[in-house]
Amino acid sequence: MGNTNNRLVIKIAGSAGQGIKTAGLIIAKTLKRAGYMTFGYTEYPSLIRGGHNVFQIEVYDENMSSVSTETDILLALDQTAINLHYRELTKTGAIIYDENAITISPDVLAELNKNEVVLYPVKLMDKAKNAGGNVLMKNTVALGGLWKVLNMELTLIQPLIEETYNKTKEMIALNLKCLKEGFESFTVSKQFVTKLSSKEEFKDNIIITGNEAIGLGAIASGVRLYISYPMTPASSILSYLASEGPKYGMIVKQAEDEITASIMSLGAAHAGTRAMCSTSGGGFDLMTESLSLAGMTEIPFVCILAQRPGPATGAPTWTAQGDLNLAVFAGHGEFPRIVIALSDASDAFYLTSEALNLADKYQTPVLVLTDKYLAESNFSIPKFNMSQIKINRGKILHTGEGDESTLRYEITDDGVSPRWFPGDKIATFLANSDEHTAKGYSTENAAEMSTMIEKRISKEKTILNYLPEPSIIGDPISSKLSIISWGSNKGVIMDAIRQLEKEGINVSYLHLTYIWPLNTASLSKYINESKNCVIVECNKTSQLACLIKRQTCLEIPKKILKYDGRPFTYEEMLSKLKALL
Amino acid sequence: METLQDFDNGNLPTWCPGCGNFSILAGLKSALVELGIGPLDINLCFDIGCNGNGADKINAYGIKGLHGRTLPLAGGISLGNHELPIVAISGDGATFDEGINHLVHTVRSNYKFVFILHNNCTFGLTTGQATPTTPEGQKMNSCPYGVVEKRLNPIQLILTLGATFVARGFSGNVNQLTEILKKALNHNGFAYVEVLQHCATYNKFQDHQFLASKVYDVATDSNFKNDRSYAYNLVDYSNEKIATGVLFQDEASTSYPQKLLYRHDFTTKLKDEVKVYDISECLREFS
Repeated sequence: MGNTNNRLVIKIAGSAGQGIKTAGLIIAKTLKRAGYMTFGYTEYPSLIRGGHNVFQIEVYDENMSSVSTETDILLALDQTAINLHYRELTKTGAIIYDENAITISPDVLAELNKNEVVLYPVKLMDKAKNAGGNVLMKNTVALGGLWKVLNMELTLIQPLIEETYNKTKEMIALNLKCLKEGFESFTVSKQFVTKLSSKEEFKDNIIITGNEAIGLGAIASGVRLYISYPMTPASSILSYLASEGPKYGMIVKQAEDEITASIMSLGAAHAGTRAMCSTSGGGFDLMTESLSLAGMTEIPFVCILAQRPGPATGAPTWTAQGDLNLAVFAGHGEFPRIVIALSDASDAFYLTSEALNLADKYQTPVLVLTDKYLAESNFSIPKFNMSQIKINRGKILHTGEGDESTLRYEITDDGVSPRWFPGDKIATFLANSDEHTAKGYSTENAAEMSTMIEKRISKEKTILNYLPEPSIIGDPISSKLSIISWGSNKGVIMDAIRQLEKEGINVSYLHLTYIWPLNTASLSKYINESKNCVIVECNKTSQLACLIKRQTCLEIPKKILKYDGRPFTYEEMLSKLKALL
Repeated sequence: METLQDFDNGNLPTWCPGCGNFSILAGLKSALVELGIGPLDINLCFDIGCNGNGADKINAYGIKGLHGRTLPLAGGISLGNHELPIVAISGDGATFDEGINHLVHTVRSNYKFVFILHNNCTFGLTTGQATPTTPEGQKMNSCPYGVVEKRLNPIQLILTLGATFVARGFSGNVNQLTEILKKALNHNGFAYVEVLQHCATYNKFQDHQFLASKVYDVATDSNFKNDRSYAYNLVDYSNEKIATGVLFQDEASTSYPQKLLYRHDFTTKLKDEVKVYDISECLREFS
């Protein structure tokens, strides 16, 4: 009964405007409060109404976060939902579907019957009307039915209904009635049984998307100006911060384009505050000259690069890892930068904070890579621990700590010069996009040009010495398979490894968070010690493998690549890894 | 007590003899000195061009950014430190070609800083191409058969966008320019100061003599009204004379940060607000 891999998968599907996301979140949060680990994955096309929207809730009783190919319970709100997803149902799974809007053809019925899938046709519109509601509350009626199938108490889900529809008392009352109607009028023909047990430790988690976590990381770490141009999948950072940031006095500004966003961030940082911007690949293309300016003037610059399939407009609402090369190599000329890849919503909070510290400390651009899967999935994670957030601004001088002889671009051992801000009573300087002297004045002198290039590049070594080693689980020497990966693949890889361990297969995994400067020592050791090394990434040209080869001269023999806009599913990862054993 | 010498850093300008930039720089320094603003009290933002080559010829806090991107740089600085006097400097090529998008939104946003627009109707540093302010038909480096595009009227453009301070000067009248800049530095919003200048090397069509014979100060005109539409008509290219001085000012102007209600209780600058902020309250929404 249910998914064999210790999870339960509930999928809600319908057209945009049917409250798919709202219903999905209610389910996820309720189950979390009941003590289950959840992971919410959404799919939607690039339009506002119609189209096909999906919210898939994975439910586990262990700390997991991957998406399954299969579905145990499908809530279908329109015909497309059945057409596209009926084959995903597990044996003896269930489909709750809107009888007013959907017909199940004889062929489909035959297939479903073969798999012993239980069908629950529900006249959602009629029931909503019965309860005094309207077409918008069909999803709530469906939730009531779902709750009956799961054999759970209404009292668990009612608080979430109240919190979600809290615009007016009337909204709450109507939705509660719809929920009750859906629940009470529902007849369960076959009780759904799962092997999952609830755990106390998950009850106090938060359910949050990667983008919301990034936003909170920015607020917590003293970003005072956030400025961006809307671009999927980064836009929800802007919309989240636009409403939350001002509560802390953060100025949130929608720029007229990405060039403005990046240049204004630099201006604000030059003035002495912390600024941040975010975009996706195409928008980042526009920022590349700004990146070069940041590198030359050594003004801190932090940009979140949320990847989606490219090139050009690509597939705005889908996921990919195709902009690694862009992050590492963009911007003309030679200058150091730091590239960090987030793996989950915890990273999104803590590493955004770290990125801001690194940018200040090394006076260098820091690019934080994420992707649609991470940005918009709903992770269940422990509440953020504020005591772990520290502000480090590096070599800042205050009035009195320097005089007119103090040089902004002083040549130092570690390449990092002292920094201060316009208005401070120290010394004037010119933050110059021209090649410049230590004072900042333009120079075309051969020796001075070489010296400045060397100074800036020397920061790379300083940075590399500071960055932590890649995290490695297991030991490549004794493993049957040694995996390397980056970004949001971490969740599905860890889930697959957990299963392989249960089957007695020893696997090691090197997960790379700090992509640039690249720690070649750790990577080389790992690859050389591996008997069977494979890289996992969501792009066609294996960008990380190529980067590793460029820096280490080592080839990673095997590659698991995906580039269809979807994340790896658990079953897919498991079978692809097993195929390499 | 600030003096003109304070702004001297020993670097000599590299402009051509007769370039209008010399007097614009002089006007700027005079205005700063007369307002008691010293080298450590101000931030100058430069573009790439002949005007930008003045970036390291003056002792002051400065930033020399990318071509056409001076305005967002100054805008960002003004948000980071809203008490800092800021003067952004750029040319007609950078502002009306590469960076015109930024001009539009800077005017709409009304960030508090002064913008000196060097208007010599050419790209001087890249050896004499036309810009949007070059007259139609004029033969230039990249259009030897004459400019085809319609001539852009900068002041009409920004008046249409709602600019709150619009002034025009002439590199041949430093005193007037100094007074204009002082008013601009005290304006509560984006202060556009266009300075007509000839380019000794590439602009033979609107040289110093031509400009000197056409300009007049609106302060001497009894018909002058401080009114947007009036100013719009005043600067039309069809007019025989060229109006200079403060052409329009909205004295009630409020700058961008002042319009943010959620900043009204803050007495600090963003610059001084970088610390840890406890977001635990925000987690309730996700619990």
